Amino acid sequence: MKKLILFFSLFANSVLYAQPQNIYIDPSKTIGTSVSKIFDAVNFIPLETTKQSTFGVINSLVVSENLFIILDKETNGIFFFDKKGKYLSKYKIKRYRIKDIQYDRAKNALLIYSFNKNYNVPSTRVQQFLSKGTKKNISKFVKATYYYLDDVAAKKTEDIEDFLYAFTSPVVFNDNKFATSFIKAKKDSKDTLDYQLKIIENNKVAQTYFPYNKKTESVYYFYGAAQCEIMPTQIDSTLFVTRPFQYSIYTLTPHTVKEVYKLILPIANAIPASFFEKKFTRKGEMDDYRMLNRSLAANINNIYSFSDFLFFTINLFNGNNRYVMDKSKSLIYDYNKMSADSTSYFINVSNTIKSFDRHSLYTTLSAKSILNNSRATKFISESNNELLKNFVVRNKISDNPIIIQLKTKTTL
Amino acid sequence: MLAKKIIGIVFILMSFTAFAQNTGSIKGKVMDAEHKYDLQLATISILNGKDSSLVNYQITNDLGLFHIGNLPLNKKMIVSISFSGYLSIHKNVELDTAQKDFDYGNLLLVRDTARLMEEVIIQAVAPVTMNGDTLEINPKAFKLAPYAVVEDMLLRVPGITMWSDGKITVNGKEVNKVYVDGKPFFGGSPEMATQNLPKDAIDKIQVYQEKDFTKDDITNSNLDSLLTMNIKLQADKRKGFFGKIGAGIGTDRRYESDITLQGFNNKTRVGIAGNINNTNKAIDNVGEAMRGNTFRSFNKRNFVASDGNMDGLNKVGYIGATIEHSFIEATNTRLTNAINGGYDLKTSNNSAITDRLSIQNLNNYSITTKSNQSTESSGLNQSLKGGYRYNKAAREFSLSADYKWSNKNSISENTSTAYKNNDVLMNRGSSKNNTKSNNQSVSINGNFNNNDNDEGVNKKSFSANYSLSYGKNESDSRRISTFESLIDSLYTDSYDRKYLNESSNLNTSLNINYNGLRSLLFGSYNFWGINIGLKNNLSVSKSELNASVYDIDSLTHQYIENKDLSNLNELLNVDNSPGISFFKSINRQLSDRFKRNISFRTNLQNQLLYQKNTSTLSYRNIERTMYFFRPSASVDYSYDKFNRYEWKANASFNTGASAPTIDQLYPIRDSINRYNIIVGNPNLKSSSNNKFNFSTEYSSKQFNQKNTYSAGVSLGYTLTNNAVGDSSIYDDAGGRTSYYINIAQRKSLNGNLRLNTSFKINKNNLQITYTSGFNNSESPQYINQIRSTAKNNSINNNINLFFGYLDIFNISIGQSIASNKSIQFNKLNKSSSLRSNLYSTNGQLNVTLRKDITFTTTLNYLNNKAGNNQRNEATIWNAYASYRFLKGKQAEVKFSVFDLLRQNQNIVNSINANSSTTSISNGLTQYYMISLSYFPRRFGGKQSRGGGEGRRERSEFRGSDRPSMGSGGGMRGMRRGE
Repeated sequence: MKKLILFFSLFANSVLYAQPQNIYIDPSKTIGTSVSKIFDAVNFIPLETTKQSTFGVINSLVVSENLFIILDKETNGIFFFDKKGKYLSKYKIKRYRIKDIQYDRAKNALLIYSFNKNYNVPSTRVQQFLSKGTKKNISKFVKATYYYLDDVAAKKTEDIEDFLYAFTSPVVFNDNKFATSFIKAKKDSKDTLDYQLKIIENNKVAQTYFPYNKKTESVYYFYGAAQCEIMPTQIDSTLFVTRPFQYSIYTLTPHTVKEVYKLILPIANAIPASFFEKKFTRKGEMDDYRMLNRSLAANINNIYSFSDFLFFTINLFNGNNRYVMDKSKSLIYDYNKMSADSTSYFINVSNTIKSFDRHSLYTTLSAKSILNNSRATKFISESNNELLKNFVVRNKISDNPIIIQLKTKTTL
Repeated sequence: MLAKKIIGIVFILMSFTAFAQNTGSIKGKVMDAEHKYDLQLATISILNGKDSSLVNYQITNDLGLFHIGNLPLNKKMIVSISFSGYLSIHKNVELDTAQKDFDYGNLLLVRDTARLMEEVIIQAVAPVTMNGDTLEINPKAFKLAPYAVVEDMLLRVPGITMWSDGKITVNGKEVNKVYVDGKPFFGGSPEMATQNLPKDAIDKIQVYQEKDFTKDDITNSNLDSLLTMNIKLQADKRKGFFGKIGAGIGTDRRYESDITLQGFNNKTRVGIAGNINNTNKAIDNVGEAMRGNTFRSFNKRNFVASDGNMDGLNKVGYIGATIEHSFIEATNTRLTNAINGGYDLKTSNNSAITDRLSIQNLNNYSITTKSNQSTESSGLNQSLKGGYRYNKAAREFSLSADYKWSNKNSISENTSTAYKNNDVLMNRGSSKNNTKSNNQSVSINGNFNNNDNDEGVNKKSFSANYSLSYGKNESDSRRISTFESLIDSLYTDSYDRKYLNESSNLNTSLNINYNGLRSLLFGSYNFWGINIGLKNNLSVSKSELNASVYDIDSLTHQYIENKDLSNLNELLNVDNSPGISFFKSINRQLSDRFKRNISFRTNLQNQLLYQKNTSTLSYRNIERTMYFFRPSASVDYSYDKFNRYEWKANASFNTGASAPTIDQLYPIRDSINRYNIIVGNPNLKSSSNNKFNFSTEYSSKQFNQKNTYSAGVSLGYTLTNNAVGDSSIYDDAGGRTSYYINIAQRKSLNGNLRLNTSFKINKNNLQITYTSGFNNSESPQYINQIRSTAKNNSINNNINLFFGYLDIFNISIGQSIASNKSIQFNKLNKSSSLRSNLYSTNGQLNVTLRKDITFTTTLNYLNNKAGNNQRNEATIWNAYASYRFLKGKQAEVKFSVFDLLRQNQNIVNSINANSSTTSISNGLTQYYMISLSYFPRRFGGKQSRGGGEGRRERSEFRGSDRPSMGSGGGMRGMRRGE
C-alpha cells in the first residue's frame, strides 16, 4: 500500500520542501500589542442601515475596486454597498442557502456557492459524486453562480453548468482554474489513494498534492469532510494552503506547492502522533477525544501576508486564537490582545480579518461595540473625524455592522 | 392587620437602605505594564476595608475599562485588580462627598513571569471571571467564617439570586441542574451541595449552558438549553464525610431523634439516614431525610420543623440508605457510567379526628351532612431499589428496578347526621371499619436513547422505553354500619360485613420513538425542513380480583357469603397507540440584537384498545374493541432580546379519549345499600376531550443585573364530549338512585399567573412573589330529571415578600386567599350558590445573632368560612432558638416551641359538582422541646478538617474541561448548517 502511494506521489505534482521558516509559538504565553504598532491608519466605513439593507453579521466580505460585498448567513443574502458605505442592492437565491462568496478579479465578478435548502447531501454522497460522477443534475443540490459586478443593479448572473466540485467551494485560481480540497475516509472504501489538494481545470482534476489513504485514516471518518484551507493572496496565481491537523503554511503556485512557514507548538497544543494511530471507530470516540483534549490545535487559517506582517489564526478544539508576526523583528503578538489606541479612536479592531485589497486589510465590528464603548465615543466626539462623530450621534446599536479598513505599517 | 404592619416595616427598611446612602464610583483602565495593551476580562473587586468582604466587582471590557458605581462614601475600601498570569494590585480608597468619583487612570499590571515559569500557585482573588462562555466563581475571593458553606458564599455573589423557595437564578435565568464534579450530589437537589460543602473545599463554581439531550427534537434554540452549575472540589477535597446526629425531648411526651451520615470520594457516594419522632415530621425517603439535615448555617425555609398541616398525631420511625457509584472519574456532565441503589424502611402510626361539613344542593332542597371520623392506623413500608445509567455524548442507557412491600392496619369510626335545608333532621348513621392490607410490587424499567446525528443524517436516532410491573394486594376488612332514616323507615338498616380481597396487576409497556424517518424516506431531501418521527406505544395489562364478601346472618350470627357481591374478575387490556409526528423549527437571528425561534409540532396518534372482562357475575362478561384518533399539535415561540429579556410562549392542543369502565357499564349491585343505589348503563359511549393550553413567560436577562423580574401566565381550557355523568333521583328522605349517563359537554377553564421580582441593594435582598390561580368548571347533570348545571369556581391569590440581609437576618410574609364558589342553575331558573373562603397570613423571621445564635419564629393565621357560613379561626405560632458551638460550629443546641397558642388545626375546603365540603382535622398541639445535635464532618485528608487552605497543583491559565456545546473549531466546510 505504502509503495503504491509512493508511486503515485512521484507522478503527482512536486511539493517543494525547501527550508521553511520555523515559527515557535506558545498560544498561552504570547504577548499583546497596540494598534499603532501594527497599523498606520484605521478607517471606519459605516454601512447604511435601511429597512432593505439591514443584515445580521458579516460572514464574508469581498472588497472590489468600487464595492463592499457582504455575505450575511443570518438573513441568507448578499448585500452590495459602495466604497462610502451607501447601500446599492442585495441578492438572494430563492430556495438556496449561500455558503461562500469569492472575488474573481479577472472576470470582475462575484463567485457565489449556494446549496439547495431542501437537500442535505452528506459528505459520503459527495465523495461518491466526485469519484464516480453522477447523471443527476448537480444544480438541484448546489450552484456556482457568477454575479457580474460591472453593473450591480443589473443583477447579471451566470451559473457554471455541471460544476461537480461546487460541493467543495473551490477557490478561484489563476486562469479559469480552481484549487479545492475534500478529505474524507471511509472504513469500507474500495479505493485507498486520494489527494488532499486538487487543481481543477474544466471540471477535471489537473493536478494533485498531499496523498492520503481514504480507507484507513480514521481521523477523517467523522464530522463530514475535512478540507485544506485555501486562501487567496494579493497575487492571483498564488494561494496560501494549510492542511488539517498540520501546522505548515504552503504557497500554491500554478505548478508547485512550497512550504514557507512551519509553526512549532508546545506539547500541550500540538496534536500528538498517537492521534493518527487511534483508529476511531465511532463518532462518539472522536467527540470524546476532542472534548478531553480541548487545547489541541486543529489547523491554521486566515493567513494574510502584508508588508512586514503575517497574520494567522490557530484553531484549537475549543476556540481560536489570532496572531500577527512582525517579520522584520521576528516578534509574534497575540492579535486578540491588541489594545485600541488613538490610531483606532480607542475602538477595538482585533476582530478576525475578513478581507483585503491591494492596499489594506479589512475587519468588521458591530454598531453596538462602538456605541457602547464610552471611552471611544468620548474620544471621537473630541476628534475632528466628522464621519465617526456623525456615526456616534446618529446611529443606534441595532444598526448594521461597520467595516474597518486597516493599513499596515510599512518599513521605510 | 398584622400582615400590613409587617409589610410596612419591610418597606421602611428597604427605603432606609435604598435612599439614605449617597454613593460614589471608581473607574480606570487595566493594561499590561510592559507592552501597554489593554487587559480585557480582568477582575476589579471592591472589598470592605474592615473585613475584606466583597462590596462589588466588575470585569473589564474590550478596552480594559471598568466603572463601578453605587459605592458607599466615608468607608475604607480596598480595590483589588487581578488577571490570571499577572501580579495583582491592591489599592486603598475612601470616597467622600468632596471626591465621590475617583479615576485611577491607567492601572498597569506586571506579568507574573517568574511564577509562570515555576508553575506554582497563582493567588487569584477575582470573585467572578468569564472563561469563554462559562461564568466562574472563585471561593477564595470571599472571606467568610471557616465553617461557611457554599450557600453562604452564593448569597454574596452579585448576579446570583437565592430565592426563598430554594430556586437559584443567575442573571435572571434559573439554574436547572446543580452538580458536584460533574455528577449529581446525593440525588441532585441543590441544597445537598450548597448547604453541606464548606466554601473552603471548593476550587471553583462554573455556570454554563448545556444542551438538553433528553428532548426528542433538538432545535438549537434557547428552548432546549439548560443552565448548569458545576461545583468543582479541590483535588484533595474529593473525599470526605458529613452528617448530623441529634435528639430532642419535649413536653407532652414529645420526642425526636435523627441521624444522617454521608460519605463520598471520587467515585462513590454513600448515605444513611434514620429518624424517630412523634412530632409530625414525615420522612418518606433517604433523600428527604438528608435534605432536612444539612449543615446550613441558617434555616431559610425552616426545614424539619413539625408539619402543622399534617392530619392528626403521628409517630414515625424511618431508616434508609443510598449508594451511588460511578465507574469513571470524569468530572464532566456528558459522561456517565454509574450505578445507584437504595433501601427505605418506614413505620408510621396515625391517630386523627376529622369533622366534616358537607352541603349538597338539590333542585328543591339542600342536604347538610355533619360527620365526625376518628381513625387509628399503623403501617410498615419497605422499598429496595437499584439502577444503572450510562451516557456518552448523545447516547444514553438506563435500567432501574424496585421492590416495595407494605403492611397497613386501620380502624376508623364514623358518625354522621344529615339535615334537610339545614334544620330538619333526615337521618343519622354510624359505621366502624377495620382493615388490614398487604401490598407487594416489583417493577423494572429500561430506557435507551440514541440522539445520533452526523451531518444532519439521523437514521439511527431512536429511543425505546420498556417497563414491567407486577403488584399483589391482599386485604381483609370488616365494616359494621347502622343507618336510621327519620323520614322513611325503608332506609333504616344495619349490617355487619366482611370483605376478603385478593388482587394482582401485571402491566407491561414498550414505547418506541424513531426520529430518523425523514433521512430514511427521502435521503438527502430534507422535506422543507420538517422532521418526521414514528412512535408506537404498546401496553398490556392484566388485573385479577378475587373478592369474597360475607354478611352476618341476624339469626345465626354466622357470616354467610354474599353471592351478589363475591366474584372473580379478570380484566385484560391491550392498548396499542401508533402515531406519526411532524416537527419544524424556524430560527431567525440578527447578531447582538435578537434571536427568535418558532417551532411547530404535530402528532397524529391512533389508539387501538382491546378489553376483555371475565367475571363469575355473568352480566359482567364483556369483550370489546375500540378505536380512537387522538391528534395533538403545539407551537413554541421564544424571543431573546440580547442582554435585555427573554420571552417564551407556547400554545398546544391535545385530544384524549377514554372508554367507560366496567363499573360504569355493569356495576355490581349491592342490595344492602338502598339509600344510595347506582345503576349502570351498558349504552354509555366513550368520552373524548379536547384540551387547549396557552402559556407565556417573560424574564429579564442582563449580565450582572441587580434586579430581576419574571412573569408567567398560563391558561387551559378543556372540553369533554360525552363525559360520563349522572342523573340522580332523590326522594324526600334523601335516598338517591343514580344512573350513569353521557353528558353532552363538560367544560373547564383554568389559569395561573406568577410574578417574581428580586431587588438587591448592597447586601439587602428583597423578593416579591405573587401567584394567582383560578379554576372554572361547568358540569351539567340531572337532578330529579331536571337538567341542572353546576358552575364551580375556585380562586386563590398568594403574595409573598421576603427580605434578607445576607445570612444575618431575613423575614418573609405571605398572604393567601382561597375561595370556592358553586352556583347551580336549572331550567326552572332556580339557582342556588355555595361559597367557602379560607384566608391565611403567614410570617417567618430568622435572625442570626453573633453568627452562632439563630432565632426563628413563624406565624400562621387561618380564617375559614365554610359553605354554611360557619367561621373557624386559628393562629399557629412557633418559635425556635438555636446555638452553635464547638470548633467549626459542629454542635447545636436548639429550643423549640410549637403552637404557642394551642390553636393548631387543619382546614381543607373542596368543591365538587353540586356539593361543597369543609374538613377540619386535629393536628399536633403545643409542645416545648430541647434538642442537641452534632454535625460530624471532614473534607479531604485528616490534616484538613472541615476545609482549609488547599494548594492548587498548577496554574489554570485558560481553558476548562467542561463539555463543548458547539461542534468545536477546526475544519471548514461540508458540515451541516454551514
